[in-house]
Amino acid sequence: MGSDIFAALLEVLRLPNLAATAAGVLFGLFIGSTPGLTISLGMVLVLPLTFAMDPVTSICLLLGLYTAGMTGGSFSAILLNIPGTPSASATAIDGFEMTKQNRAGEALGTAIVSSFTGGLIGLICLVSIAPLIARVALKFGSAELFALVLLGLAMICSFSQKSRIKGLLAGILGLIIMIVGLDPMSGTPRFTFGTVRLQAGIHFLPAMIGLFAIPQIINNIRGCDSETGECFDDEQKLGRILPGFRFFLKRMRAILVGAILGTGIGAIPGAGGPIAVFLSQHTAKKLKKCDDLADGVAAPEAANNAVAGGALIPMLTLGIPGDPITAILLGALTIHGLIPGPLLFENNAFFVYCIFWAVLLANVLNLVICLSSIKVWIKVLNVPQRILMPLIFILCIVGSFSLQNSFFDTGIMLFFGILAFFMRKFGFPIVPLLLAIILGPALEEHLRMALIINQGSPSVFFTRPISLTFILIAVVSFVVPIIRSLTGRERPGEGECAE
Amino acid sequence: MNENNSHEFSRRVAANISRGKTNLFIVAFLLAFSIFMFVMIGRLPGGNYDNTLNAAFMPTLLNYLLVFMTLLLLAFTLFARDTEPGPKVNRAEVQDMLLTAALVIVYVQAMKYLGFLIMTPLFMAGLLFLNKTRKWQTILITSVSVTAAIFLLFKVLLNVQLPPGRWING
Repeated sequence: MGSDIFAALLEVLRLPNLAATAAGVLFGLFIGSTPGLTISLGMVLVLPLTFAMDPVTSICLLLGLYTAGMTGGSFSAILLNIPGTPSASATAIDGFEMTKQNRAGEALGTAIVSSFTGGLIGLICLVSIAPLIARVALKFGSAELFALVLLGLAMICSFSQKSRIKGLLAGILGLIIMIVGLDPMSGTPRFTFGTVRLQAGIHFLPAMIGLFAIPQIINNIRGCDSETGECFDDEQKLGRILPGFRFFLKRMRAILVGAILGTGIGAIPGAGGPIAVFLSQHTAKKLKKCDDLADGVAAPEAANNAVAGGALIPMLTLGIPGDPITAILLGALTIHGLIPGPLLFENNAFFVYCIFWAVLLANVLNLVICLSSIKVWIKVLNVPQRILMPLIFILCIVGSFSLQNSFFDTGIMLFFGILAFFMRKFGFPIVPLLLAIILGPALEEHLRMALIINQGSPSVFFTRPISLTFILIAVVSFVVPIIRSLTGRERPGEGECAE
Repeated sequence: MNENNSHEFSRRVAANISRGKTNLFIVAFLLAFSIFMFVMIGRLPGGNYDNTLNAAFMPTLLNYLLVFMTLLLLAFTLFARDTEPGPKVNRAEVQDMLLTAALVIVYVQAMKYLGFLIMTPLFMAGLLFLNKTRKWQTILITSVSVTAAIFLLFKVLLNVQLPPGRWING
């Protein structure tokens, strides 16, 4: 076994494998940071190239792309307020706020180091306790998955400091919007108004671009901030490029929270990254008890890279892909005659060790490449705002079109942009709406499936311990603050953390 | 004593109504929307009066939740001890929102006929002018280079489709 591990390390460190990982990282950063392009699209694009490659080289390329794609998504979120991936939408909230405070360098540095740490912890879990996590993950049926999604939504809605009721209303509106399209079980068209385009439902990517980017474009369309009346200054201060060791030490708790939640939730098939990033951001802030923007970047970034490690657990141990990306990875392995599952560890232990080392290598190269190119990335902010804003505008339109080659998606983007504009003006938070849009289909699917299995009785949610625990936490996290505000015993507002 | 309390209570409600006009408008809008939803749900197979797990199940559940939360918002707006004054949308912001929407519609509609390669530099030039860039060299170089960069990135490198025009396939 020891010799196999060492031989696998030597195999992964061969020049073609190093080059493939580096190429994957560079391509992943590019794909992840470009609005409208998804990691799955990037993987599908490079998949045909892997057919002619050695299995280890191909897995190095794909894992490099996967790891860096997650980090790349946060770059556009932090610098431009356009999340490149759904998992980066939590990062955009506090990351872009840091950019506005001339702390873009700090935000990028935090994202990169947190991603690396999260990826590393995910890998440690993958290597050490994969079978245990896989066994727990298998206990997640429809009832547990519904309760988990509900918990994610309840926590995000309760996160809305100004008005929890408006937070929940935003979440409900998001869920209603996601009903549009064919009913997933009976195929009945719902709220499509006879439009064929609406039958496929609303894709969350144009919605996400619209929710984040359009209000910002509206605000600055004439080269001046329409709220404050301030006009653009071409000279932007970039702040510290990379924070010091003590800075990261202070964020270690947030990083650990993100990494643990990311790995755990990533290992549950069908749960997905967005729940992990929002839950970890919420939990990290709750634990700190003061508003620390850097924690709001560190926790979700650690979580989304830990999700990558977590998602590999059911794929490798049970042969069950947790999300579309791991499904493509599974396909790539199958093409090379490697069938993931319990037998893979017995029959191809050497290859499994290669995967472990490849994950580590992808994370290390991602860290090195990102840190060395941080000054290049930050140059985006040197582009004068009067040029950057039109560029973002065009990228949003082209990005939403290119998703399905349809102007309909551009219309969807505009609709959500205008909706976000009015919601912001009327004090509704955007995040619950976005999370509901991303998680809505899964929520309905698991709720109905659990009820059908249990002959329509909702007792299934209260008799299974995991589901009951999640539901209780969801209810407490939402109801307690409302009772506090009704009885006048609300906690004072959270101030900024002292550095 | 009781008379004083009820007098104070009605004064508070009256003050909340005047301060929370925006919230009351939102409540009215959401209630109207939920009525519209009920009508639409009624048209689905097994609509409002059938609680089996059909296509209408989730919309009905969500609509009841929407009504409940809207009424809760109404109660909070009317009876809370410290209702904050509602936010106001100024005219300049609404104008900018309409301008942005008009620009997207014009760009997309024109692109359907003239294609990405013709429309994007024109649109970019227009946006730069709107953003107070007046040097024509800057406008020309920026619009052409941005278009070329997006074309190379999407079409050449990634083979991702860009909008073709009906008249000019660019």
